Amino acid sequence: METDHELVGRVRRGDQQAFAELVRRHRDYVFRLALSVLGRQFAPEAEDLVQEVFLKVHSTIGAFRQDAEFSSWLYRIAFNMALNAKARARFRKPHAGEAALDRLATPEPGPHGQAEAAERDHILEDCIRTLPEVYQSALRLYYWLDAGVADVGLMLGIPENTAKSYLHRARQLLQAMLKERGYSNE
Amino acid sequence: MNEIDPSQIEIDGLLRESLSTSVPSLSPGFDQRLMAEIDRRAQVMARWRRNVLAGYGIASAAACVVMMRGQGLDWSAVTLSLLVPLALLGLIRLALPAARLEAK
Repeated sequence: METDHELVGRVRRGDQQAFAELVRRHRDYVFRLALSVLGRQFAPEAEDLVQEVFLKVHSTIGAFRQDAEFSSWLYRIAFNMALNAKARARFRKPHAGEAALDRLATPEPGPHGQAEAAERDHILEDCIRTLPEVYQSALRLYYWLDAGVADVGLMLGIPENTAKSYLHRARQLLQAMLKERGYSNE
Repeated sequence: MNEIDPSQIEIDGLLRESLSTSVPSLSPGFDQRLMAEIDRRAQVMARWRRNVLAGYGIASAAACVVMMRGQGLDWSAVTLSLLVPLALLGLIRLALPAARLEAK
């Protein structure tokens, strides 16, 4: 199997099939990374963002330095573009309302249980949104998008141990915020 | 697997429960749509480049004509000095692919 670097070389010589192969290899990672930055409210925007990321990569592939990993370069572009998209999306209404998202998150029996779980999810989501962007991404990748710690590190361009410590720190901050709001899971 | 600090077991469980919603996926045909968009943009860029090049060529030819006429050259000399380089360019473009084929 050809390496990413070999495929990049072919793309630079105008081979579109090689670019299609790069897309096939990395599209799901880029999509998950976009989702992790945008969050559940703006999930419908994630696919458009993935397309924009690959269009940008295609037009700027000449600027890619072959001494770096292609995936690191691609994920850094995706992360930065997702942050910009999120900043723009904040001024618009989410595609799905918070209530609908809460219902999705809580398939529990009984209206009382549902209401409690919905409130809990709402508070938790609020707290997550106040965390630094990279912590938010790490949490969503790990807990929502089923990425392992190694994949979290790969997508965020950090070593695995740093990803582990980001997750630890994010949980610590969330715990403190929930305590401050008087929320207990017991 | 990420080992959880015992003091974080509760928040870990809460996050797992709260964030365990369905994960969206890319719609089918994403690759085809993306490659079609790349083709469309490449065509737009190629057309734009051709137009810019043609505009530049026409403007330079016009400037040359004005300057040469200003220097007192007659129309036949002006026409020759514009057409000879163009003809040479055409010949080079025709000859290059043939030379490449021979090299192979």
